Amino acid sequence: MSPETVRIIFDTLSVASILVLLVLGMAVIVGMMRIFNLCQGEFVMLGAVVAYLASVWLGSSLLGIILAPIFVGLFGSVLERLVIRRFYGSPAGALLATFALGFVIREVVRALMTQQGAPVPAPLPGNFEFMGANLPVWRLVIMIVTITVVALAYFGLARSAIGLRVRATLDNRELAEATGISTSRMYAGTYAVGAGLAGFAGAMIVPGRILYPDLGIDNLIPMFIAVMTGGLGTIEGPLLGAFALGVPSGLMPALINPVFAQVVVIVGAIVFMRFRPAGLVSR
Amino acid sequence: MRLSLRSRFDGRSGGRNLALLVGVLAVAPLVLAVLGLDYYTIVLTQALILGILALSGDLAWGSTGIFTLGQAVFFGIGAYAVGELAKHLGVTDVLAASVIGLGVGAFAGVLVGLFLFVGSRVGELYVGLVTLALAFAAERFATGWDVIGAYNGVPGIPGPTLGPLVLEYGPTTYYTIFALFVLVLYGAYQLNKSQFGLVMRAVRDDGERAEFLGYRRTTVQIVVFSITSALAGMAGGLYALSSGFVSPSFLGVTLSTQVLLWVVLGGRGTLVGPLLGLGLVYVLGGRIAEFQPQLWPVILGLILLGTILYLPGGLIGRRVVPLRKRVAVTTAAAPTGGGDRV
Amino acid sequence: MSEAVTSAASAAPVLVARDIRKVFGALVALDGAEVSVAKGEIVGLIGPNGSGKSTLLHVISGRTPATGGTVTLGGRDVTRAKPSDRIRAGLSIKFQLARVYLDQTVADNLLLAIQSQAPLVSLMLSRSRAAAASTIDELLEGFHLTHARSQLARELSHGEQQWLEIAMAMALKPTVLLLDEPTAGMSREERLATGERIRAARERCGVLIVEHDLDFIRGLCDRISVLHQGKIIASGTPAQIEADPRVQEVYLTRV
Repeated sequence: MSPETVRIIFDTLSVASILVLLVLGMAVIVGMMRIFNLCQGEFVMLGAVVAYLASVWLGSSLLGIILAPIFVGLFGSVLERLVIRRFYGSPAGALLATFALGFVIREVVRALMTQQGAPVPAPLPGNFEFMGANLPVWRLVIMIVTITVVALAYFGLARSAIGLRVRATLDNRELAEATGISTSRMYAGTYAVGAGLAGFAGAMIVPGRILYPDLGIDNLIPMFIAVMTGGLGTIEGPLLGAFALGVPSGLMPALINPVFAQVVVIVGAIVFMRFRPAGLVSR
Repeated sequence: MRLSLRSRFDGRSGGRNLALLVGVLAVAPLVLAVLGLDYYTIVLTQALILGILALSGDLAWGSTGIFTLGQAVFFGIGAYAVGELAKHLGVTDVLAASVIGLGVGAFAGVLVGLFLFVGSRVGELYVGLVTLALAFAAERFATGWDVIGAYNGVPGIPGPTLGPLVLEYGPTTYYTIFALFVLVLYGAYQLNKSQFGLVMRAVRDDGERAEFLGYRRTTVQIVVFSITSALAGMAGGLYALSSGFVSPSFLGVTLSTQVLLWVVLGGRGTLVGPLLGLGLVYVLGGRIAEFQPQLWPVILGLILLGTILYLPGGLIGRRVVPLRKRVAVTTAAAPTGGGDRV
Repeated sequence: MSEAVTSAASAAPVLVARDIRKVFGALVALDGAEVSVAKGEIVGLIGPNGSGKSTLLHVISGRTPATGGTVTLGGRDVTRAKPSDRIRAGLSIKFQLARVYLDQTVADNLLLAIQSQAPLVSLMLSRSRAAAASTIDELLEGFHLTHARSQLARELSHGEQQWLEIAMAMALKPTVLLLDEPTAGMSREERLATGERIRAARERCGVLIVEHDLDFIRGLCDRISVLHQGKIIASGTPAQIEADPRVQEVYLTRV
C-alpha cells in the first residue's frame, strides 16, 4: 500500500468516526426518544465551548473533554424540564421549540465571543508514522474513543437492564408507569444523556480546530440525515447510518470535487430515505 | 400529525387586516420621505419581495400543512435564473423576471413535489427534513459550481426596468414591486377563501379523512407545493434584480429557516401574520440590529421561543378556544387522524 | 319484510367482498370472510370484539390492503384501489369516532363532502359554491342541523357530530354506505332518529352497518352476517340469526 492510499483510508475512517461520534447523542434523543431535536448541534457546540474554556482557564482541553458531557448533560436536563417536556405529544411543536432553543444558544454564544473564531489547542499535537504515511495523532485518538464509546453505549443502552427500562418507557409510557417506572425522570435522564454525549463529541472534535458559534448547526443536517438513513427506534440504526454516510463523505473528496462529494452523499441519502423510509435498521 | 399549533383561518376573515396592511404600505414611502428616512423605502422594497416568499411559505405550511423547510431553494433558483439572464442577455424587466421566476420555480416545485408526495405516505416531519436537507445540498452545490460563479454567486446584475423605463431606487421601484406584491397577496387571499382553500385546510387538518371524502391528497399537495414554489421563484427573481447580486446563501438553510420564523412568529395560515413576522424580523429587527448587533438576535430568539411556548397560534393567530366551547371539545375529544409518521 | 329481502337479494350487488384474508404477522385477522350488499338493502355485520369486524371494514375502505381476496364495487374490482378512488367508485364511510373537521363550520364540512369530486380548477375559482348551497340546506334540514349551519363542528354535541358525519357520507351520493357503529355513545332518542335516517338512505344505496348493539340493528337490517375469528359463521334474517345456536354460542351469550 502506498502512503497515499493509507492516508486516504485513514482520512475516510477519521471522517466516518467523527460523524458517528457526533450522531451518538442524536441516536438517543432522535432515534430512541423520537424528539426532532434541532438544538442538538448546539449541544455539540457547547461541548466545544467547555473544551475551549478548560484550555484557557485550566490550561488543558483534556480536562474539558471530561467536563463537557457533565455540563452539557446538566444543561440538557434543565432544558428538558423547562421546555422539551411540554412537547412530548407534539413532534412538530418539539421541532419548532428546539429550533428556537438552538437559535437562542447560538446567538448568546455569538454575543459572548469576542472574536470570530477561537482556536483550541490539540492536547496531543503532532503526527505519527504508519506505513510511510504521516498521520495526526489526535485523529487516531478520536477513532479509538469513538469505538470505545459506541461499544459502551451499545451495551449500556441497548443491552443492559437500565437500557431495557429506558426502551420500555419510550415504547409504552402508560405501561411503564403501571410497572412503577418513574417515566418523567426516565425521559429527563435520557434527554440529558443524549445532550451529554453530544457535548462530549463537541469537546472531542474541536481540539486542533477553530471554535465558532455555527460549529453545531453546520453539522446538524449531516447528523440528521445520518439518523434518518439509519432508521429510528434503535441505537444501532443511527450509528450505522452515520458510518454509511461518513465513509463516502470521507472517501469521495479524494475522487471528486469535495463540495460536490457532500452534495452527492446528501442527495443519495434523500433518495434512499424516500424509498426506504424505515431506514437501514428498523424494528 | 395534528399540530398543537393551529390557527383557525376560516377563509372569510382576515380580509380587513390585509386591506389595512396594504393601505399602510401604500403610503409608507410618503411618510418615510416626510420623515427624511428615504433609505427605508429601499429596505421596504426588499421586504415586499421577501413578503412574497413569506406568503408562499404560509400557503404551503400554514394553509396546507406541507411542512417545507426549503422554500429558499426555489427562491434561489429563481434568483439565479433571473440573475444570469439579466447579466448576459439583458433581461431586466420586472414583469419578465416575475414570469421567469414563476416558471423555473414551478418547474422545480413540480419535480420536488412529485418526488416527495407521489406514491408515498411520508409524514409531515419527513417533508421538513428532506426539504431542509435539500436546501443544505443546494447551497453547497451552488458554492462549488463555477458556471454560476461558485462562492461569488452572480455579482453586478443590472438594475430593474419596466418596459422602456429604468427603475430608479426609491419610490419608483417601490411602487412597481408593491403592485406585484398586492397582486400576489390578493391571489393568495382568494385562494385561501376559495373552495380549494377549504380543501387545503382539510388536507392540513386530517389528510386521510380528505381521502375518504374522495379527495386525491397527493394531487392537492403537489398542486399547492408547485404554486408556492412558483411564488418563491418569483420572489427570488425580483430580489436578484433589486439587490443587484445573487449568492449561494439565497438557496440555503438560513433563509429557509427565516421563512419558518416569520410564519411561526406571525401566525400560520393567516397571510397577514407571516407578513408581520417578516416586518418584525427584517424591518424592525434590521433597525435594532444596527445599534444592538449582538443583543438583537438573542432577543429575537427569545421572542420566537416565547411565541412557541405561549402563543402557539402566532402573534395574531386566534389560539384560545373560548371557555364556552371548551366543554364541547372535551366531551367530543375524539382523536382525529392516524398516528404520527416520519 | 320478507318481500323486501327477496327483492333486494335479487338485485345486482353493489358491494361484494369475497374470500378476504388478512394476516398481521402470525395473526390471522380475516380468514376467508365475505359480505355482499345489494342496492336498497341494509346489511348488518356483527361479531364479538376481535372477530375482525374493523379489519374487514378497513379492507373494504382501502385503509389496509388485503392479504387475499377481492373487493368489488358496482362490479368494478377495487381490491388495489386507493381510498379516494373507492370513494369515487361509489363507496362512502362513516367512521366509528366521528371524524369531521372540527375547525371548520358545519356548512363547510358538508361543502367539502359535496364537492369532493369537482375538478380542482373549478374549486379554485369557487364556481360551484352557490350550486352547493341548496344541497347543504337540504342535508342540514334532513339531519336537524339547520340551526348549527355556521357553527364550528367542534361546538356540536357528540350526537350532532355523528349526524354531521352521516350527512357528509350521504352528500357523496354513494351507492354503498358503510357505517361503523353509527350509534356509539348516543342516547336512546338519538339512536331511534339515526335509525330513521338510515332507513331513508336505503332508497338510494346499499347500507352495511357494523354494530355492537344487536337491538339497534334487529329492527333495521334485512340481513345480518356474524363474523367470528375472521370467518362468517352465519348469515340470514335477524330472526334466523337470533335462532341460530352457533351464533348464540359465540356471540349472544357474551353480551
